[in-house]
Amino acid sequence: MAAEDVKLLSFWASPFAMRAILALEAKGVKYELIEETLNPKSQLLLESNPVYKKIPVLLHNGKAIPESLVIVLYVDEAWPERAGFFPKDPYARAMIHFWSDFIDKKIFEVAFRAAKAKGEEKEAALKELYDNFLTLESGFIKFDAKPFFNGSSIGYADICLAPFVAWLPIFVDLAGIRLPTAEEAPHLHKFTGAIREHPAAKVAFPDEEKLVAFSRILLHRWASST
Amino acid sequence: MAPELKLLSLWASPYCMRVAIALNMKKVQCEVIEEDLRNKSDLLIKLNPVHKKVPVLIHNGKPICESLIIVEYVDEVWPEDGTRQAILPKDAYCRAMERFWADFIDKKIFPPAYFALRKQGDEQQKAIADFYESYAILEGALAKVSEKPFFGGKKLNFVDVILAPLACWLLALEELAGINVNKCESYPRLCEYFKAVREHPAVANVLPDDKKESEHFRKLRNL
Repeated sequence: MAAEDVKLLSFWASPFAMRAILALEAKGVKYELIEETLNPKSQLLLESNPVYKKIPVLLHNGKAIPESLVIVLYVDEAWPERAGFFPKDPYARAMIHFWSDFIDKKIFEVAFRAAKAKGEEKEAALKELYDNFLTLESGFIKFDAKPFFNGSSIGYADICLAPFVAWLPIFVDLAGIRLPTAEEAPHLHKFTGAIREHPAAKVAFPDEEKLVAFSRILLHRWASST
Repeated sequence: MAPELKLLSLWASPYCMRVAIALNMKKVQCEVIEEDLRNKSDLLIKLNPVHKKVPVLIHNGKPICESLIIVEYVDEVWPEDGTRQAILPKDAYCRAMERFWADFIDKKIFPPAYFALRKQGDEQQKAIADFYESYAILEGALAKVSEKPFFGGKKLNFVDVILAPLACWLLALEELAGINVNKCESYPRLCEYFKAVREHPAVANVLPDDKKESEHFRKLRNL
């Protein structure tokens, strides 16, 4: 079998890059991590993702795949013989897609909005996020998550959500984001505990102190641009 | 015998049209239930409690929401055989590229088009600028497909199912937002695309009349 050439254009703090790393690690794929500085963007990045010029970009035998969730799906399909990210039943698969879409639009987007906003706008986003976490808890329950949507191993929805856990200290301490309690959302809390211990997350999640320092700069930049 | 497939829909919604096109490609019968979004039915709220939006496909009583998710579901449940085509290809990289462009169309074409139709002043101007920028990128992508006229070449693929409904908004975009993409010199492939896609058997009976769609948005703007 021809040697696989797998590279990932990445940035250590990016939750989207973390998704790609989690997927590759979960599948046991050997890959070269290329850390982008992003300022300036490398020629390779600009050529591999001309539409968005963003990381992550997966390069598999020279073919470029951008967009974190497209990458995760690709990794699942390109290495189908190991650690599948989805259940077999088409309806259950559609539900996993639903929850992943929810996580992207109603958890991540709202959390970033809450972190950047001030005053009333911030309060509204925080409330919305809190309610969305309770909704997500119902998703965990529907899938009987033990502790992951994919059972005892991580799957598509888990990979989609996991980087939020890496960013949790920032969101909670620096951005004032409130999570439901362990009583209100037991599955969510089990998930956050379990994902931190997962071997793939040990590789994908950056050092917490480094991340907090980086995010202080980001939050300061966001605050002063309004 | 009760149909096993129902679609909660709105005639004017391109997101619902995507599902109808996919079902046509699979030659599957479906009961269409027209919703009034100012007075959402109990069924809609019960089956899509999170988003309360159409389309919702109900298959054997089980709801599936979000147009892109529904189309992939339909493709999986009714795979290619002698009578029906696949929507997504088998190759993982080709699937990734179709998903990438479907996502681009869903995020960078339809929302600016919608805001161009609904908003006024600065907000509308920004939406118009965003739409033109994305449309040029889309033209570039289609130009790379050697077989004409669709993203799937001679056949429709996943990208086409997601994009085709834009056809019924083109008149509204011109009349209400001054967006004119019928200049075939600037967008030769997309011009050819929209002429051809309207005629495709899976699409023709799905698209509402352009004038009706434009009138629908004109009414919304005047509210």
